[in-house]
Amino acid sequence: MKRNKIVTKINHQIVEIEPEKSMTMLASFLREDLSLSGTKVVCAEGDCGACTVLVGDKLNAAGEFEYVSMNSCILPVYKLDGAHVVTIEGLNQQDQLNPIQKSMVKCHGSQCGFCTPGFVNSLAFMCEELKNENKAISEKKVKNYLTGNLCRCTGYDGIIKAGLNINLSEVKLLKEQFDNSDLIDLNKMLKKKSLVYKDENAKLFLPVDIEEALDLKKEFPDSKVIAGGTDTSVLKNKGKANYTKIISLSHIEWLNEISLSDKFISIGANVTLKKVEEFFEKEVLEFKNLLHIFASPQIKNRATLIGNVVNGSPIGDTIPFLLALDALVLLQSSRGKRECLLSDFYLDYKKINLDKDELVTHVLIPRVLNNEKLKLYKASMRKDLDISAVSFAGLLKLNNSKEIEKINLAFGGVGPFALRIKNIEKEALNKKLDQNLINTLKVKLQNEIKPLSDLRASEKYRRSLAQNFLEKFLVEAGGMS
Amino acid sequence: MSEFVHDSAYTHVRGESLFIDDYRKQVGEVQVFVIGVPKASGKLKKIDTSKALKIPGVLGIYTAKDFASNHWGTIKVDQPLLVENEIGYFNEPAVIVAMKDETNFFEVKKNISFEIEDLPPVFSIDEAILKNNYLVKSTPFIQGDVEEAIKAAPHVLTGQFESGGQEHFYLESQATIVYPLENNFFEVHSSSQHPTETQHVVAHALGLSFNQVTCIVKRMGGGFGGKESQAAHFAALASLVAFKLKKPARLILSKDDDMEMTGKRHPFKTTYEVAFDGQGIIKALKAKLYADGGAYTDLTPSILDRAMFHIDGCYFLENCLIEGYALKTNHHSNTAFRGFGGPQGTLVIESILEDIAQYLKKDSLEIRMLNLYQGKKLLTPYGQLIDHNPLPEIYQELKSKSEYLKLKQEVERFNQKKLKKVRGLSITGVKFGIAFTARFLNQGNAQVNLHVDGTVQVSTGATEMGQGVNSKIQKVVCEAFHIDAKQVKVMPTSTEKNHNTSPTAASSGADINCSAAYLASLKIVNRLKWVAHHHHHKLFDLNNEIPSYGENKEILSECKFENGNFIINNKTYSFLEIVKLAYLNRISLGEYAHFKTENLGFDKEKVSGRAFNYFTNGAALSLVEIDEYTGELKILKSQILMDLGRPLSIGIDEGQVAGAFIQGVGWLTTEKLSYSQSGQLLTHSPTTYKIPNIQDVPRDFKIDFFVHDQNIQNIKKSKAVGEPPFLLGISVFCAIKNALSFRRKKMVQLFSPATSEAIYEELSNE
Repeated sequence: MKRNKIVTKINHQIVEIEPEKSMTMLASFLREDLSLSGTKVVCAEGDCGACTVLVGDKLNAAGEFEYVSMNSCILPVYKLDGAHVVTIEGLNQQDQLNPIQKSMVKCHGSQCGFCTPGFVNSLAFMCEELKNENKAISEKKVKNYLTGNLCRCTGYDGIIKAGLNINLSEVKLLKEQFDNSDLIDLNKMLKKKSLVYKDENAKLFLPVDIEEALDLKKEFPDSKVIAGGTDTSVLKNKGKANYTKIISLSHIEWLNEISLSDKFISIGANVTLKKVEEFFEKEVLEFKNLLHIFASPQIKNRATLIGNVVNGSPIGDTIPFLLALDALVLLQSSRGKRECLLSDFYLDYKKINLDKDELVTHVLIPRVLNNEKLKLYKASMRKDLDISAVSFAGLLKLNNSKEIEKINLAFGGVGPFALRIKNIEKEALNKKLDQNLINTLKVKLQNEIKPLSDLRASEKYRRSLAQNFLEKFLVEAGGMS
Repeated sequence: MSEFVHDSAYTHVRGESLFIDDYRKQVGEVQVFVIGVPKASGKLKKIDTSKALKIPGVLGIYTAKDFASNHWGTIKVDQPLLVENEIGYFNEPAVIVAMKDETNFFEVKKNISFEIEDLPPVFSIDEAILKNNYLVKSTPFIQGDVEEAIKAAPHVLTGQFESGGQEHFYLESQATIVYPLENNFFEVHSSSQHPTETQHVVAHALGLSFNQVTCIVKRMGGGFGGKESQAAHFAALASLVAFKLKKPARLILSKDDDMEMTGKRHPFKTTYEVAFDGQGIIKALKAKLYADGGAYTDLTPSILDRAMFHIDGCYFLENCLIEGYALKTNHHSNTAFRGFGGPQGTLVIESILEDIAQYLKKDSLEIRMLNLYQGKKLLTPYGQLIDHNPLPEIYQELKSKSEYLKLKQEVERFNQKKLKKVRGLSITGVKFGIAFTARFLNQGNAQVNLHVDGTVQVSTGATEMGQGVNSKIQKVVCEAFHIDAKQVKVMPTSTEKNHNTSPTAASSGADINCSAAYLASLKIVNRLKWVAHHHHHKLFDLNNEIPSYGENKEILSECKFENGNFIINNKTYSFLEIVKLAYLNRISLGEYAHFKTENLGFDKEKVSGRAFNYFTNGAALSLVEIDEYTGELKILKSQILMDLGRPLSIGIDEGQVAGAFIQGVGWLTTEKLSYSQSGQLLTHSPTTYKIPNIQDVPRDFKIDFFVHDQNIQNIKKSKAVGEPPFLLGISVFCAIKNALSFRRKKMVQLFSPATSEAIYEELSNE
């Protein structure tokens, strides 16, 4: 049996959403339909955090919701099927401030107040995670959890102090604040029951297994497949694209997994960057560290690695890493399955090797061996939460006489898509690593790249960055410093 | 009295504070959208709206001809509300669309077409100079004999310096709701720093008299100068729809449109010649400042003046010739932004001092301290003598508190190691003139109403944009009446209660409005003493009204007001008791006061007189590290010492200092505005325009106050705080220059903003 209504819970109330509203962004749904105006919209592109809310959409091993922060301005309500949304109004206690709010008031963490609810929600996410993990608040943690929130008034000084002065023992976990017994069973039920909504203007599908998704993709080849949906929502908000046929993968559990074999890490289409970041802490710390300055917590909590791959942006920050490791994409259609080396997946600017009826289900990442060194760099106008001017990934293996046995070099921001520079790799192979070689490679690299000038960087600067990253990589990975 | 927090803090953290777009929609309310022209220059021949008018949800489409008067402007009425003929800049508002809701807006936008006859645009200061496109030529400031001094000096550096514009990035974009009342009266709710001007502009645009329009400002989600003049523009656009359709009309700009349509901080270019001796003491400065005013006059003349007023920074210029020009270009009309030209002026001198240090191979702090206003060297380029001057003490105290000399040695040692990282250190200062340079603006008024339960409502012309002016007003009123914060409420700003007010700007909001509120409160307190006197001496009599209050000094001095009690001859009467008696005996418990800043009067033509009431001073140290592979910057430490006299509210003032400093750092580092070749702003959202993030705060960030009682010119010996600390961000810029000087053999040539790319370019230029 199919259904056509999204069901979600907002603060203490279960809400059934009229089908024609299912593609509305949560922020406007909250503000316009529920009169919950504590959630503010500033940029409508997930870059300022004023609209931050907490969302529990996955159940953990204990069968409880795991909450994360998200930008509600780019979160279509159909992504909230079966989920619990907590807004600033939900965090308010009747007649007193909660411990986070108390600290924000006492430490002058709020001036004009427009960004404040977003900051309170991000701090609530911090407290929720730290309490669950039995960790303490530190200045570093406060800054990391608030990377996705912009404030123009305070210079963040009062906010950092407020974060540090929260009495964590007084903070209640969300499961203690909300009785979700009504929702948990409902959630399980919804995830087993496909949603289909069709009218003359729009079509929305939430299939529950991959076969159903592939059939839909075959039937509606021009439909947009959505996992995280962060980028497509921005385009919609800005009037640049209007997706009217959507297949959302959220309910396909098979795509939620990260699995590990001797040779490969397999990452499913629904796996968020947050999960990837957590996973790689033990696997490849270098990649975890890159993800640390990539996007905001709110985005990483929603956006997927495969979304970044399929988006095909020339400056997609994760792509050079995947290219350098010779990652594979797994594609599937109702016709069957195929594998494609990521470096063959990109054809031109935002053009990918994907048929109309195909989906990318997984990325397979070869594991870094003990004798290989991986380095990832990016340069941008602002260190955190900024699109790169140039990004770089390099993998190096030297033999005992310092000769290069393996070298993989991938760049973002130097051409129409992220790419491997095979000619330089060939040039370097089997040569002794020394400053002369570095100088030669740096010069030759110039013929291999075609960066553009734009608002982020000039062509000249991009060329210098590419050279310097190559040098830095060979110096650092080659143990020359 | 306990520390005052922001008067809206409680509702802010609960998300219960109402901003314009949080007002519930009324039945029949209309949404207003603005569409701009797709060219930066040209003649608008025709607008075709016929197709758009047929789209469902469209209730009306309006153009310039629909206004009774289509022009506005604070200083000069030269800016069209909607493009009429000549186009000023890309995406300049040309069409207003009234809609039921936002659903089909993008469709409407697509279906409106413009016929434009192209004219060559002017995008840079240099081009505008060549074409003689001057908006303003200011009267120069002259002291001593510059030419002689330059001839006589052992060293002369000539050069030019450029600083870029800056987007305000207030989180709440321009926002207005207009409610039509009966008989063509309108209530305008606007996110505006200047309700009086908003009222006037709306009335003028619709052909109404001022008394038909009331402008109300509860709060703004940030202003920073961007809502000083330009809020009025969008209020007028929304008002037209309310006027035409007789329905409530709401206009909320999207962030992208806001960034493209509204003015920014003025980019400046300065050419200079500076002469100095072997110690680094400046003997003469000759400077020409050029500002990019954008398409219209707006506040440019005053901003240019303030840049000229602040090119001396904290330093004595014995001989100088300061000239100022503003150019007309095809950019959005540039406007007020925290510092109002002051930062652009002071940045030049601080950058020059950094150059002198590099040139003479001397310590920059030593040179700065030699050049400070001190001893008898207290005459400014504009002829005002500085009356109290704590600058030498501030520099000395910061130098020792921050262990400057030790840090300097550490930097030198670090840089010798050649770790592909280079560090730099600098201390810079601020001396910011407090007062509107337009004399008439230095006035304000307040209405204080004391209710019979002892609570107070205060109304002034000050607008709350996050800076905490309401809390400061609340605090002085509490102190006047000896009551708690809970008992005093600062009410929304309304032109109905406080008219002919000045913008909340020039850091003067607290100075002027606290003073007016305090005056009004003291008048009531004195009247209550009068009542207490009559009560004590049993003079109330049903047959004889007590004489109305007069300033009888004997009576006033007989009655003491202490700890909330009136005391006469050791007999105590409670505040509440006297308040009630006053009411019962028909004595007024409300008071209105007008305040003006005394002893101001700068003659612009003669360049003499007092331009400023006093100066807010401060200094900051910054220590930075640059990645030599990429030019990327890290601020390792910033330490600020701020002179706010006797600060009105330490917590709120600290927030102002930190916020202004970081905003200044953003202007000087990551906040780069980029335009397409056709003049369209490309950096029109936070994805492309990078204001500081929480990770950009200095790793070690300290703020201290230099507290004293010398500032008797202002309320409770305090000093204004809003803008001055913005200029301390310059310490980061100078620290970057210092770092570069370690790697560069030639003189460092760095302009603002010092983006990674600009820094890298300097590093790699040999």
